[in-house]
Amino acid sequence: MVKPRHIFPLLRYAGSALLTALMLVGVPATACAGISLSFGIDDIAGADWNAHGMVMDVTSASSDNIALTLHVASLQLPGSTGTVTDLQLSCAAAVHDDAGWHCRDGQVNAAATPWQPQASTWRGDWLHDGSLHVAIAGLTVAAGTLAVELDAQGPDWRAAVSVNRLSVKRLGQFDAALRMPHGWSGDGRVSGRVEMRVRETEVQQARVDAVVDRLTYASADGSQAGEGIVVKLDGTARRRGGTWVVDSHVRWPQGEVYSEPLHVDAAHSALNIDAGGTFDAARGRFVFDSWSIVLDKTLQLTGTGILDTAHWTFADLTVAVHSDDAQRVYEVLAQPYLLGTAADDMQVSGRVGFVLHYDADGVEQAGLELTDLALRDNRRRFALRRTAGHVAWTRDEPAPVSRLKTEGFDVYRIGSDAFDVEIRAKGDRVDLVEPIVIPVLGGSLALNAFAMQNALATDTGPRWTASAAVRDVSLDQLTHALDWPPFAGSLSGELRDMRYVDRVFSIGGGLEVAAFDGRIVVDGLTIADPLGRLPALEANATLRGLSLAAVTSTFAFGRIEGRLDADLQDLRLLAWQPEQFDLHLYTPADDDSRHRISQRAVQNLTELGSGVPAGLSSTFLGLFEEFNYKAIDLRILLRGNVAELDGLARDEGGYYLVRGSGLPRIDVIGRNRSVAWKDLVERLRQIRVEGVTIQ
Amino acid sequence: MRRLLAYPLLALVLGACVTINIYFPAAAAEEAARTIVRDVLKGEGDGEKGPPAGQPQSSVQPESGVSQWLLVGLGRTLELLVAPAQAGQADININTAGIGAIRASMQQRQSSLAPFYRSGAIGFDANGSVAVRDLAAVALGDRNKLKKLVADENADRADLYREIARANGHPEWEGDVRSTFAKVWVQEALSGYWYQQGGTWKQR
Repeated sequence: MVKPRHIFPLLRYAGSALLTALMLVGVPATACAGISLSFGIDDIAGADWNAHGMVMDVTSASSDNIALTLHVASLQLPGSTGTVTDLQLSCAAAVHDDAGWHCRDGQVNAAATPWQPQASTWRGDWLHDGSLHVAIAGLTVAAGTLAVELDAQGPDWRAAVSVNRLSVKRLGQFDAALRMPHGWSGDGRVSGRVEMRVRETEVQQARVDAVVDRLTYASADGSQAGEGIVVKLDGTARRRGGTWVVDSHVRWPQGEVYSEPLHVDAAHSALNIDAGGTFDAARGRFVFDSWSIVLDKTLQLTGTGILDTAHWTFADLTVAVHSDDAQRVYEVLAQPYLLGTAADDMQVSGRVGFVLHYDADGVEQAGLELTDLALRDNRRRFALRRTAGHVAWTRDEPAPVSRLKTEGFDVYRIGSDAFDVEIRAKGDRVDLVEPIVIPVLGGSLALNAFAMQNALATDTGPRWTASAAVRDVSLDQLTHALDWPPFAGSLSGELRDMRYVDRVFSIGGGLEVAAFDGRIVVDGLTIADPLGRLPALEANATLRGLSLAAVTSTFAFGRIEGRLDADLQDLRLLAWQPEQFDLHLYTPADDDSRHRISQRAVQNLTELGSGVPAGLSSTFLGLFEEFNYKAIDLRILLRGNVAELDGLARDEGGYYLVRGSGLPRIDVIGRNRSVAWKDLVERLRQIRVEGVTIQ
Repeated sequence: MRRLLAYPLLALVLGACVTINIYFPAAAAEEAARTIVRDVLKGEGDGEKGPPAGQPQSSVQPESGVSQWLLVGLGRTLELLVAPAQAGQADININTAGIGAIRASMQQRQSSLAPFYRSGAIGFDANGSVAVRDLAAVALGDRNKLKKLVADENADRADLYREIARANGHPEWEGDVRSTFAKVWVQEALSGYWYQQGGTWKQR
């Protein structure tokens, strides 16, 4: 590999050799003009280079003007760089004055080099004070040009290499370290200057100022790519004792980069990196006194750290992140990692801050500061309204208390009002500090306990348990939110054993709700992937002793009096649409309450069972507002898109939906046993009572 | 002779253990898959009609110690009785709310996926999913958009295969449904679309 520490001594040697020869030959020439000398050296070898077949020709035209030529048959460059053949350095007129010797129009030619044949110029000065200056310009390398300057005085010397538009691709041909990984393609141009100051053989200071432009690259699988990139970098390194003080800056004003899954376009977010620190080569440590990364219009990172250069891992790192545009942070840095999850399509607003401390054992503590952060799922499944506060996390005890204040959240169409929450986050656990009351749908959800585990697991996802109580939730608001027919009353119940494990939400122990003067018990409620693409709800329910008067007064179905039991088995909603259930609505055998059914309710039940209006008003029965009934019985068995209907057995065929009693007696008899579910739903939607259409 | 046969036959009927294997209704599944695939691809495909199923819908395996001819005869009789009943079950139900929702989602996404299918950036893999074939063919700024489309499409497809199996009362058929769809996606692939076969990509 070619390194400056190889090249510069070589150049220095070559320049010195040429000008030393000039001195050796030229000084006697002051006394003897018109002399010609020629001498040769077969081989000269350095630590990792050698030259063969060196011949020096010197012709003295006058005492102050000589011509000289150094020819090297072959020069093996350091490392595996290659060989230069027929190298010729010449100076047609080396001039001597009071200061020393000067060559202004030197020529450098080489028939073959690892790059290409060379034909360029050089100039040099060898002064009486012992200082040496050599400059070679116009070398053609890697489709660009290269110039070298060398200044030496005593033990101190300075070397500089300037390059202009070197091809990145061709540079890779010279050295494996500059080569793109196998299968990658791309190119770009490098321009800039590298300068070093050396004492004896020790570099004291180095400075780099470079621009890479038109940089384009792509890996074979497309996971890494860049286009139209311009990167400017400058840096200095100064030796101080046994360490190096380093100061570096990187500017990325143009181009775009895709590094799976991140995509950053500098046109939208230019990147600036500044870093300063101390490098201790003996200890293999780079101590960053400060560093900052600014992704324009997105976020700013600052911090300090200690890099273990032996293993290229951070022994210690402190990071502080701030962003005034949470949406931009989400789009650029979060969303790409969330693709395929429920959080991959959100609108985010507000400001966020983040601090993190990393030590040899990993992340030790972290904190998140939220200012008016709000997020909303574009599929309208969930939302978090403006939220402020901080979340602190530690790896070890004690876990600090985090406090958040939110204006509320939405899960599908069910929203909460504002509430505060305090949590403790440690390791992979999040626990509620104290019970909280979340105002929801006119009532409240009292969250008594909440504990989350695997909060950081990306493969299985988090799992949590909770217990809560529902108090006085408005059925009117709930049914409105769910787009169901409006119910009156309120809902209360205990949610004792809520769990979310392997993306399945479940309520153990049943959910018992008092409603319509009766009791509703929901068992085996599970919701798989509740915020996913295809949530699947499964449950069973029993309804006991519901007052039909209370139900029908809100259900706008037509008035019915009496009690109602119901069994709902094998309910399965897929994407919140009924996929299957077995529902049996019936009058309890021991119900001794008054059984009355209005003409409108009879008409609606008849229409529900047959699909055609009963037309009671056109008969003498239209004279009666209400009828007595003995029993109501309706069974709906839904499988896929077909609902099987049934009721009380009837010997004459069909089935009773309503078995009448007394006079005038009216029976509602169902004839259709199979109906398309969408038709049944349509019939429910079309039920009209007193000018009201059930939506 | 009749009496001679009567006792063993009676013993067989009373004691025989009859195992009825219900095979995956490949032909019906393929027809259903073709309906859905054409629907998603906007019916522009010119795929072949589904070939008939290669496997019988049922088999009968009586287990008894009676003579071979009696076993064979009774077995064939039972097979005759059982086969019509199972032929009636061979329809694949794809008309459920869940499957409908998935189909609608896939149909809606197809217009966004189509340019990437045509450019060769993505194609149908051998597993009934969509795979990224050539990410380099996609502009840098569109790569994550494509990855999201593919992730969503594959999630829908996984849901679709699972729901079809479940809606037909056989969750264990999910793998068969997926295999059937994998074949049909390739058969129905539109001109210019890429698909994986034998580990290599081919273009229709």
